Amino acid sequence: MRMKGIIACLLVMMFLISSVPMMSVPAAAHPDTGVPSNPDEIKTVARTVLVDEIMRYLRATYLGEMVKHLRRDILREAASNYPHYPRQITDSAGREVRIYKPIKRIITPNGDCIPVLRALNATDKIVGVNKYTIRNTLFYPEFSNYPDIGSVWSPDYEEMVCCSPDTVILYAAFSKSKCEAIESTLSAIDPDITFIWVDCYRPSSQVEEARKLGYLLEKEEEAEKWIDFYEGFLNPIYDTVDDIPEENRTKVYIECWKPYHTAAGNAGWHEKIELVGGYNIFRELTVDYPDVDPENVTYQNPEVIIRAAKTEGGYDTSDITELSNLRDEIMNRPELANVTAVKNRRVYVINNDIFGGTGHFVGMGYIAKWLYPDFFTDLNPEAAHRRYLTEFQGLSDNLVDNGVFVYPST
Amino acid sequence: MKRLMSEGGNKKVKMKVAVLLLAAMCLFALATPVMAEEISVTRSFSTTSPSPNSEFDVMLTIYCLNIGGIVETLPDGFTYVSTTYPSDQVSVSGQKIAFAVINEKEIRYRVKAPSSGSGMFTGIWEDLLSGTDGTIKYNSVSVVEPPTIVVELSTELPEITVPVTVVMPTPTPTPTATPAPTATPTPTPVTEFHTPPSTPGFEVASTIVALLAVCLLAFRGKGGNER
Repeated sequence: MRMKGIIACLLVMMFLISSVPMMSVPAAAHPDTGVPSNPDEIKTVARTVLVDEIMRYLRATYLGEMVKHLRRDILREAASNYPHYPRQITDSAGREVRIYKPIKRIITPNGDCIPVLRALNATDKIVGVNKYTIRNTLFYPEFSNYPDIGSVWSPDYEEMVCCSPDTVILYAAFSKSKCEAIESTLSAIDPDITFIWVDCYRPSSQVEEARKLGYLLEKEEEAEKWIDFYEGFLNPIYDTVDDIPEENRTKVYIECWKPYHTAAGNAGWHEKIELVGGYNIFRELTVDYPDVDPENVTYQNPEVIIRAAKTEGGYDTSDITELSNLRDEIMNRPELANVTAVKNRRVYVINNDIFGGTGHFVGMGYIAKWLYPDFFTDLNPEAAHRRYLTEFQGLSDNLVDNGVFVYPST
Repeated sequence: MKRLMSEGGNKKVKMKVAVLLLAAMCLFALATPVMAEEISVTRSFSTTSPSPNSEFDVMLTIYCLNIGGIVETLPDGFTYVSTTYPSDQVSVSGQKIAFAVINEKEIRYRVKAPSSGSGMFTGIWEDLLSGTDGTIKYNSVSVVEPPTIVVELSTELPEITVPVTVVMPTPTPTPTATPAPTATPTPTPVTEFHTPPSTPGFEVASTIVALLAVCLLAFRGKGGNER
């Protein structure tokens, strides 16, 4: 009886060994945005790309054509990883990115991508970070001892090369010339490095970028979870303000860093204001961060004034006066005394920790409440902030308790 | 009792052996990599003797080459026409045709023969998974003129005519190889011709004899077998 049991177990083992399927990505049901979302689509893209690469190789090697093609060893690696690879996306700069094997070593001149990589549970692949990430020990404690690769504006190429990266994440819409220089320099040293240009701080591209990074890093499930949370918070805001005609939208003056320095054009802050139903009084300007005339602000007569603060407030201070002082300064400007926003005391200050970067959705929630308090009585940006930190950043929500981010909050 | 114990003991030994064998098979399956089967690509043709300027098919049969490429070289004078293979997996340059292979087992392509001559079809394959490559055995193809059909009618036959209609297939028009002053006539439908005389009843008799022979053989075999 015992022997029969043992034989039965061995037979089951043999069956399992022979029938265990390859590791496959669980199917995701999210609508396709051009990024493969299930194993069949991943395989289809892999086949298309592999066929293209094989044909280029054959044409160059046997037909004598001058065609750019993969080295044989890389092509063989791509073949051995089929059907899970190759993988292909169009990044946020419109460039085709192909990878032929799993990504293992990332450096991040674009520090704004790190919270997204955290949300994807992919930070184990990061091998070098920029100096601002290292300095921000409160929000990025795990990277304080990582190799310092400089920044987009002052790259440390020696350190970058020492990291032996297979992937470099750069900005798509920010400091393009600097990012081009980094790619050009590193490509000349190691042509096998993959460059991905994404922003990770813009609402208009956040979802697609998260999905693309998730696909490239084999973190599709994590990407959808992050997107569900992100869209779950913002989509109700969008749905509500979509119905507000433009002529009825709250007129907003956004001031960035210093007096009469505003945001317009392609600036992320301009985009965020408008997405939550605000009417940026300088929306017609094409420069991203122009300086404006105080008389112009007075003439436009905004209903709400928002001051974005970079150094005042944030995770590293609990001193609310840093933000309240900024507000008082605006409220006390003589030239603005008759502006509706000042008369109605609808002047707010918001710290960049929740207005820039990947946490921008928290700041957008606060702004929605300021612009339309009656529409968003139930909206709770602070609760979303806490969940973002604990569930998607691996941090404690004590950071919310110990920091100051908006003033006044209502 | 001793017999029972001995039988029980034998059974135990057998069970142990079976378990050991199963365990060994499991270990073998885990530890031993899949033995690479030999890769080969063979070529066949719908015809190796095409008519001048005719089209014919070439079939490549692929064994164990899962991901890689095949490059065929057509002999001079022969022209690539088309293929049923996916277009993004084919590239043609001069006499060479490159095919990307991802788990396909067969490639079929069409070639046009020249007006005359012969040549060798050659090819190579490259397997990206094993990193090996090889050649496809060459094949020779020769253009052959289609045979011409000549019908001669005897003028010495008696005047017994049987109306018979014979329709001869009209072959593809081809230039004649020999510049003869008198061209070989193209066969045309024949409506009547003279047949040689036959002995009345001869055919019936010969059929009966044949049937009798078959029956004799059959019954003889049966009778021989009966005891």
